[in-house]
Amino acid sequence: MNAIPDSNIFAATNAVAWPLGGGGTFRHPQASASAVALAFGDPAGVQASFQARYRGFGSGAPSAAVNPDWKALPSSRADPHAEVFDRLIDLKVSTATIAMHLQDAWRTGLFRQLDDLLDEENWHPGDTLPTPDSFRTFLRLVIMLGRPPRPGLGCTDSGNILASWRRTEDRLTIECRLDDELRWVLSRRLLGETESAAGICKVKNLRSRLAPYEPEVWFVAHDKHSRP
Amino acid sequence: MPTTNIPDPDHLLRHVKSRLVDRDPQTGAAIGLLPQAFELTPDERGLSASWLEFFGDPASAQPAAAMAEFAAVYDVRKNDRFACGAVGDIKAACGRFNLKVRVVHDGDGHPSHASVRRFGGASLELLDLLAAEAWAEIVAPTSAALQISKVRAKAR
Repeated sequence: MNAIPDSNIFAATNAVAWPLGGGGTFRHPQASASAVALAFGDPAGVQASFQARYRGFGSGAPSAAVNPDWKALPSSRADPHAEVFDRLIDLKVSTATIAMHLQDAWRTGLFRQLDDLLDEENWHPGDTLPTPDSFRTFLRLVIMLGRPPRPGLGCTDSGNILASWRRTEDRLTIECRLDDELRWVLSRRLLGETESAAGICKVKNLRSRLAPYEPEVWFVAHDKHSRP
Repeated sequence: MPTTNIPDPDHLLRHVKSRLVDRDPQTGAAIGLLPQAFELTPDERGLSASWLEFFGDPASAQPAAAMAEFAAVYDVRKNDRFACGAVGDIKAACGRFNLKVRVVHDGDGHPSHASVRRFGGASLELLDLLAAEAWAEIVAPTSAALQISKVRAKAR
């Protein structure tokens, strides 16, 4: 990873601050400045997108000179697009807290998937956003699995993250729930027969539950781009 | 509106939001559907879809007509997909999990609306089977459906 100047980190944290808090000094509860820098591989780009969305709030302290109406602007929570964007940032910052476990390419790929999942052009207004609790379970799952290839990402109606791995006919889908709970379903071709199974377990028990189905088919990277 | 059973050779088209489409993690291309695309929400009586043969011949024009009708009532986004399956295949898949479903046309919400009834006890394995085999053909929304949805959203 390239070193990011402190000024950029400061700008990124400030950029996060105004949409979320509307004033004061922002400190994400789970993120240090360096974690935020890790979350935003391109702080300048992130800052630019914030500035485009929240004119006058992008850098430095908000002031009447920058935007005379800033006090009258609605909070981001009142704007569904801003709410989706805020959640995207929350999830990226959460990822940054475990960045030391992930290779840059894996993390960048995950961020691209999150961008797609929470793309405002495709997100249906009123749908439940992916919950931070579910996403934390997803991150713990990734760490527990060691070095799994990056899964496909989805989201249930209740905001739980879905992770899916496919290898020809073999497929595994895991719903990440609150408090490390996983709801999984698989279909696996073994010895010429297709078997299916489903279950609910904690993250720490997943490997033993999947062991009879030889889960390496999903969890061993098959190309250099998918290794974490 | 009275309900009628839909014949086994006929087809259902179900709208699937982008977040329930299975995508290639490298390219982002749609490669299938996630099982939860077929999960009932708490307020759903049956699994909703459009009955393709409701639109008559030619068969090749039915999906576009069904999407346009759906988009006039509900939001359709570019990365959403529609899942197509034959009624007989869907019933057979449910039967493998001892679920004796009824597939009916009821016109509820839009004229071609169909519903898979008695689906309440569907297991996650059944949802996976539907997503991977019985109801697995995916179709991208037509540009006409997207346009109709946009116009409707602007008018709101």
